[in-house]
Amino acid sequence: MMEHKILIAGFGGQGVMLMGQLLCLGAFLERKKVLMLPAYGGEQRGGTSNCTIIISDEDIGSPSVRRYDTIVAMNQPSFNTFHGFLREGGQILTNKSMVELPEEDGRTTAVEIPILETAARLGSERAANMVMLGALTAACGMVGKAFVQQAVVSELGKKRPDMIELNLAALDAGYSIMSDPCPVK
Amino acid sequence: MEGCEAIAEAAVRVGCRFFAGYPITPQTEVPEYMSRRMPEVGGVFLQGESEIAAINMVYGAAATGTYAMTSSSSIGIALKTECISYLAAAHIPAVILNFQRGGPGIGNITASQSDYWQCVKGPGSGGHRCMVFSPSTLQECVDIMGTAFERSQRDRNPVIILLDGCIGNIREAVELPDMRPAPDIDASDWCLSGCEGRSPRQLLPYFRPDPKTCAEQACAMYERWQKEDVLVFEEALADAEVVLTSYGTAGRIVNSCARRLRDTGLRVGIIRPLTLNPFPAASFSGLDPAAVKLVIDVEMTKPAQMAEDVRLALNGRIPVKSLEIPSGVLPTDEDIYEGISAILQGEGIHGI
Amino acid sequence: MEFEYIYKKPSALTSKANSYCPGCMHSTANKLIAEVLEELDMVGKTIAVFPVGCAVLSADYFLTDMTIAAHGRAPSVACDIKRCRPDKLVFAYQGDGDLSSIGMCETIHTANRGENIAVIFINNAIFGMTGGQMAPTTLVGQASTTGGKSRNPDDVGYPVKMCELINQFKAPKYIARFAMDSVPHIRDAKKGIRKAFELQLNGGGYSFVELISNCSTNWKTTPLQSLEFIREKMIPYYPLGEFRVPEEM
Repeated sequence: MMEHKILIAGFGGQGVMLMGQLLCLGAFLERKKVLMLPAYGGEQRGGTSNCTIIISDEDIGSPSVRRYDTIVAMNQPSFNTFHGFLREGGQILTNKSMVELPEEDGRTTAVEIPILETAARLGSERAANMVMLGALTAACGMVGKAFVQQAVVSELGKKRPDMIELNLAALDAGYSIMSDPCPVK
Repeated sequence: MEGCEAIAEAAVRVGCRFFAGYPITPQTEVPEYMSRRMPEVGGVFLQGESEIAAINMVYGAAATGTYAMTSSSSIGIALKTECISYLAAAHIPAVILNFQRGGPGIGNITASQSDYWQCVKGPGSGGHRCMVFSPSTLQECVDIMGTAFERSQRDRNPVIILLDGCIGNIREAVELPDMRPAPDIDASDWCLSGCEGRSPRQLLPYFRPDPKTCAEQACAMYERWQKEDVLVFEEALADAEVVLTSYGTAGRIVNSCARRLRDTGLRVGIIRPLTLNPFPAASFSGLDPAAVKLVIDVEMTKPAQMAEDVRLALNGRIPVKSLEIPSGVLPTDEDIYEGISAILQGEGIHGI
Repeated sequence: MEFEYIYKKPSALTSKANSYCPGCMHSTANKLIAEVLEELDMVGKTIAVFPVGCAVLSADYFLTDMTIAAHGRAPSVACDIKRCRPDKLVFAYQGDGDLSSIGMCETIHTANRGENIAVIFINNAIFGMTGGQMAPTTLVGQASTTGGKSRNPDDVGYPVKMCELINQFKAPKYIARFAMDSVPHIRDAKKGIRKAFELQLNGGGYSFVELISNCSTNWKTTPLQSLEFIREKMIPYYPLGEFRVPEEM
C-alpha cells in the first residue's frame, strides 16, 4: 500500500491552505484517497497556519500523524516547530529566502527551494506558492503533475484567468527544481 | 469539502429546511454554513440566544412538519436534553448533531468520544431513547443523513448523530446526495397547521392516552429498531481470532490498523457499529467463542463507555479488553496499533 | 317560541368544565382569547403554545392546534412555528414563573428579535401550580412559601416589571398591561388581545400583552378579596396601559 503524509506550514497569506487544497484536488482527480486536516483550535496561533494531507491507495485512518514523509516549511518558525516530526528518510522542502537551515543535524534532509526568486524570474513573486506546489508534487510522487495542473486550472483559472499562464509556469519550474535537486545539509 | 459543511449540505439536500444553532467549537461552521444556505432553499435559519433556545426553536419548527436540525457539542447537548426529552414525549421528530468534545466540564475541543453514555443511555430525563448514528468517515456522515431524517420522521422521535471535532474539520472527497424536494408539510397527518376542516391536533409532551400505553408503544418501537434498524460494518469475522470494535473516528483508525495487523499474520475481524442505538448486539452474540479469543474495544475516552454494551452482548462468552485513549489527543495510526499490540501481547495472543 | 342566542361559549373552547381554582381569572383570560379568535375567524388557522404552570391547563380547553413547550421555552417554540407557518396565527400563553423566571432569556430575546407572534402573559405575582412560591413578580411585602411572610427587597430584589423591560427594545410593536379585576378592565384586556392578534395577521410583529391576574388559593384570600388585592396592591406597582402602540392603531 502506498501512503504519503504531508505537512504544509507557514504564515497566513503564503497560500498554505491553497497549496493543500490543490494537491488534494489533484490527488482526487487521480482517484487517490485523500484527506486534509487544517490546523484548528489553540495549537497554532500568531498568524501561522498549517495543514496535514494524507494521500493513499487505501482508506485513510487517523488524520493525526506522528511522523511525516514530507514537510513544507514556508517560514522559519514552521521549520523550527515541525522539522522534528519528519520520519527518518523523509524530506523537508523549505522556502529558501525565509528559512535558514541549522548546522548539520545528520538527520534532516532539507531541500531549499528558491520559490521567490523563481517566481520573480517568471513574472511575479505572487506565484511563489505555485513553485512550492510543483516541488511538493515531485517530492511526494503520489500525484501526477498533469493532475495538479488540472487542479490549478480548474480552481484558479476562473478567478484569475490572467494569472493562469504564470501559475502553470511556476508549477512547472518547481517540479523541475526537484527533478534536479541539489540537497543541502 | 470541509466536514461541517458537507454534513450541513447533505442535510439540506435530504430536505432539512430549518436550522437553529448556537456558536460552540468545534461545530460553529455548521450554523455558519446554514445561515448562508437556508435562505437559498427557502428554509429558515435562526441563531438561538442559547443552546436551550435553539433546540426549542427546532421543537417549534418540527411541530409544523418541517425537517428541522440543530447541532452542538457535548456541554451544549447537555443543555438541550430538557427539550430532547420533550421532543420524544410529544412525538416530534428532529435531527441533532453532537460534535463531541473531551472530558467533563468545558472539556477540550480535541476529537473525543466522551458522550456515548449521554447520547445512547440518557439523552434526556424520563427514560426515553433516541436512535444514535455513529459514522466514521465524511462519506458515511453524508450517506447517513437521509436515513437519519427518514427514521426520525417515521418514528416521530429525535435522532442523534454522534460526531467529533475531527470529522467536522477534515476535508475529504464526498459524493453528496441528490437534492430532494422539501417535504410537503400540508400533506402531513400529524403536524400543526391550524385545524380548519378537521379536528384539532395536540402535540403534548406527556402521557397520552395513559402512561402504560405510552411506555408500551415506546418499548415496541425500541424493539422494532433492534430487529430492523441496526446498521453495522463487519469485516472478516468468519475466521477471526481477534475482533476489533470501535465507532466514529476511532473506527476509521482501527480499520487501517487492522490491515497492518493482518500483514503480521493475525486473523483480525472488525465490528464497527454505525448505529449505537440500536446497538448491533447480534454481531457480537454471533461470534464463536471457540474461534475468537478476544474482543478489543477501542474508544477515544477513558473510562471506556461502549465497552459496557459489548460485554452485555457477549454475556461473558468472550473476554473483552478496552484500549482507552484519554480525551485530549487525537490518536495516530501508530498510537492505536501499538496500543492494540500491547493488549495482544499482554493476553499472550500472537507475537507481534 | 323562538329563542335567540344572546351569549354562548366561544367555538374555540371545549365544553369541559374548567379545573382552575374557583375564582381564578385564567378561565376568563382563556375565554377572551377564544372570543377574539372567533371574532377574527381564526380558530382553524391558529397554533397555540402553552407553557408549564397553571396556564398549561388551557391546553384542555382550546379547540385549536397546539403544543406545550418546556418550562419557559414557549416563545422559542412559538416563534419558529410562526417562521415555518407564517400564514397561521401563533400565540404563547405563559404565567409569571414561566415567562419572567425560568423563561426570562427566551422572553427577552424573542421580544428583541421582534418575532411576529403574540405573547399573552398572566401575571399573578406567584408560582401557582407548585403552591405559592415567590416569583420574580411577587410584590414587596407579599407572602410566599419560599420568601417568608414578606418579600424582602434587600435580600431578593424588587419585582420585575416585564412591560417596562420589554419596552426598552426597539423591535416590539405592541406592549400593553391590563388587569382582570373588573368588567371595564377585562373589556380593555380583550381589546388589547385583539390588537395583538390583528397586528400579527397584518405582518406587524411582536406583541406583549400582560394581564394582571389573581391567585386566591395561594394568596390565601377569597376570590373577591383577590380582585381587591389586584386593585389595591398590584395595579399601583404594575401600572395599566398601552406602553407602545403602532401608529396605524
